[in-house]
Amino acid sequence: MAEFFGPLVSAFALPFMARALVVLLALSLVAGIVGVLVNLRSLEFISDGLTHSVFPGIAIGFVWGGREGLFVGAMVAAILAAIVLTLITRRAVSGDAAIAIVFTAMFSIGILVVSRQTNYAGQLEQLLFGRLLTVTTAEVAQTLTICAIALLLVGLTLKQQVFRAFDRTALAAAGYRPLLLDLVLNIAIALVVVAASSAVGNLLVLAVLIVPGAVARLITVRLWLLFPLAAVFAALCAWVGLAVGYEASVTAGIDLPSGATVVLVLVAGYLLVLVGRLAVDRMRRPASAVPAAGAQPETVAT
Amino acid sequence: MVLTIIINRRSVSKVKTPRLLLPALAASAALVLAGCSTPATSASEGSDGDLKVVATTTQIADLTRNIVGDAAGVTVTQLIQPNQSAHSYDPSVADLTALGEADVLVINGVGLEEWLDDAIEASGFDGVTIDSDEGITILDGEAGHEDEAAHEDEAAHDDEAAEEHDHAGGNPHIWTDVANTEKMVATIADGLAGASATHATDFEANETAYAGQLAELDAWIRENVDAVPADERLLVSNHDAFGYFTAAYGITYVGSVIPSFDDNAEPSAAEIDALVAAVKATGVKAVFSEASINPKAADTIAAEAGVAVYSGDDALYGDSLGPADSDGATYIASQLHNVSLILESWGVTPSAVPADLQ
Amino acid sequence: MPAALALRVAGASFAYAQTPALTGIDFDLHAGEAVALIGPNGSGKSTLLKGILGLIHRTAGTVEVLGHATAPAGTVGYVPQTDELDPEFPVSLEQVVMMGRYRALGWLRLPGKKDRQAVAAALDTVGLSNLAKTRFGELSGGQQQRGLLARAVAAGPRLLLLDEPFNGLDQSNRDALVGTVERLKADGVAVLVSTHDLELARAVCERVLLLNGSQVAFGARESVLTLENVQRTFHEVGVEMDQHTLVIPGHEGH
Repeated sequence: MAEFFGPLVSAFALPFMARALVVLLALSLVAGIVGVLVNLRSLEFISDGLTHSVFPGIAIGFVWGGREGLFVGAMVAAILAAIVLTLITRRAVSGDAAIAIVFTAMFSIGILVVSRQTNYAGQLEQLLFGRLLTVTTAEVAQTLTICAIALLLVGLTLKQQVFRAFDRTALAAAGYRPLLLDLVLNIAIALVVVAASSAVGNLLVLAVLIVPGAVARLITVRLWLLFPLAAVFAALCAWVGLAVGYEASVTAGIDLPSGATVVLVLVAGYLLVLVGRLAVDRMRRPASAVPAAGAQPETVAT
Repeated sequence: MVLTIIINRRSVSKVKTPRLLLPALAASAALVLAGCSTPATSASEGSDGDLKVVATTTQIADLTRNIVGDAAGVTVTQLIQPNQSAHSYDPSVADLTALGEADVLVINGVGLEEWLDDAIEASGFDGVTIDSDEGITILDGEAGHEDEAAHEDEAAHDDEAAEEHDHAGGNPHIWTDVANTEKMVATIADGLAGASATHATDFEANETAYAGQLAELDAWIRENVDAVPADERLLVSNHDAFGYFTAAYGITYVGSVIPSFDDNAEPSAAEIDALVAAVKATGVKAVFSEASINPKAADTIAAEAGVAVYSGDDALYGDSLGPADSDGATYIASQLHNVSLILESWGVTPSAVPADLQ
Repeated sequence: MPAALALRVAGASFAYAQTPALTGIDFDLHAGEAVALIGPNGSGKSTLLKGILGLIHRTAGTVEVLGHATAPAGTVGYVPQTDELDPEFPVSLEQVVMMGRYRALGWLRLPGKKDRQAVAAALDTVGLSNLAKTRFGELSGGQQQRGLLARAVAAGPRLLLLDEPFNGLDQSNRDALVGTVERLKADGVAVLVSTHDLELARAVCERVLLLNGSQVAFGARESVLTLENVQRTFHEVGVEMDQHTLVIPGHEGH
């Protein structure tokens, strides 16, 4: 038992593991909450678009200013993308084709920008797959700041966001501006994308955004429980994922990229919960072949 | 995208058997793990010693091990494994742990290990760094232009503090010239001796022995290359890794398939055409691929130009030494392999290899 | 003493973009009173309700709500025809009704005791107190409609606009809804309800407004609901009108 739980704690005595954990915990908190809203409003596809569209900003920032420039470039691109996205989807959520075109174009621009560097493959790899183990203290601070801003944006508007997710028309009739709420949420999503991109890489951000929310939906229908559930699930998976990566590397000699390991744990967690949920549902549903308790064939008196 | 579609099921009652889900996830998991997982670093010596040394590249690790020999209580941990890229290396947990605990770090320098600063900061390494490029004339830019920035580089370099190595753009493949390697070995040995008084004599003894071998290697190479007429000493390799080699031994470098120091760049169509033209014009008889690099581009150029291609087991060891069971597992072996093949491509049989080096 | 004026619409016309949708609307509504808005599909009933809310462009005339040109926040409640609400949404009836309190709470405050009391009272008014914790999607269509009404009521409005609330309701839900409107009137709320259903209009509304692109008639129920007026509204000749149901060829029953 000790060998199983040992690394869950001891791994994080190492400073670089502790920093990675701090980054992921902050991300889990925000991505869990934002992810539940993404789920309630079925924004998964749009979030995917946002993820790709932030990439050129990350790439341009990186090319111009190295890693210091990365965050600035990413923030600018994120906010721009969120505004554009909000405007495109104003009419109806299905502008899927428009969204897809705009954002794949932006992703390609990102690749073009990076490819102008002579050693672009290495840098591209970093941007796409993230760097968790070599984050500096400054980068941890940046990530925490971005997460805090996103959390503030969503936290201040949380009940209205839920209202919007449930009944847009009534929200408008009540005097709120759905467009404003959408913009706030999209900016929050974009910020989470920026923070998560540097940690787990641009390609895997989507998993961090949508899996925790999906898991929370599987577990409960109690609205306000969804948010802490998603955050806790994400945090647990981050913790386990990092510990697994540590054990694999140090003990078994297999080096797994940390971002992908955490994402795989997230997905494995989802599967586990799904199986559990299916089992619970089956137990609740009475089997038709089983006779009702207490039913006895009547004896026929002759 | 598959993930998006699958996970967007709202309630469980709408989830039928997740038929696509498990295979899709298994496939992605397999892809990720197959593509990215690597064997962890291996310590060449066993248990805890009183001197922990970490070396970055395969060549540096080999040189270091030759200096350390079998001194008790000294461990050498190698970060980059054979055929991994040194330019864009992502240190693993094991790497960072070893680095954090290390007393000495031995690096190649010349900006080869771009990822190193982050790794050092992340791991909390606070030991001594031995930079092997000290005292070595750095070639700037393409092979053959060795006089350009070299002199001012050298002067400035002596003044700089040990960790200021701003050779961005300089050719980092200094080990390809055996004379450079001799200097590197001296630097490393001095550094190691300075770090551990107890082992200093052992290190010095090992260094002397190894330096002797390197001198023999250098002589053997010179003897064989000099026997070939100057205008027939032509080389085309996969990327610009042999600048110091060709400059030192008087070989003409016709061009590289990938016009950059970085193993990951791609040649443009214009660059391919130019190289094919150069090959035809100079009469080079072979294109050499490298063991750690995909041979496709080299194959293409060789086919276009109508010359032989040396790849697979016959590829050169450029960026990386070979794995333990290969022809180029050590520095000396790799040089013997490379030079023998190059000589063969010139139609020359190499002379016998000195017994010491076999 | 005459009841306070809750709503006055004078000579108003409304339009979508450049297309006129509704013209010549003239009526008023007092506290504790219910007015029925009757007209065929597409006659502009929803438009009028949205126009009163200020959601649709007014091209002529005036609308005065509770003595103001623009109603103070939270004083007007609106219950649209049941929107496309996600049946799987993880929210309880009680929580949906609480959403009606959000405007009053503003951005930062969380619901408190007063809000919970208002929600309970609203649920009581619509007769759904026993279903408070049920997931909204699990309620029947009629119950959901009543739930949305409770949401509107929870904000404590003085004027309530109901868009076809009786559509598709079974008898028990219709009875419950009638009871609800009665309770609201007793509380002094002014109610404007659009409907096809004459019986229900008769059950709760003192006055009736007939509409078909423009105002056909307005006034006390019995004097307005003449065969002639109804025919003009529904453009059908040969309309049968009995005591309980307006039978229009092509529009059966309620």
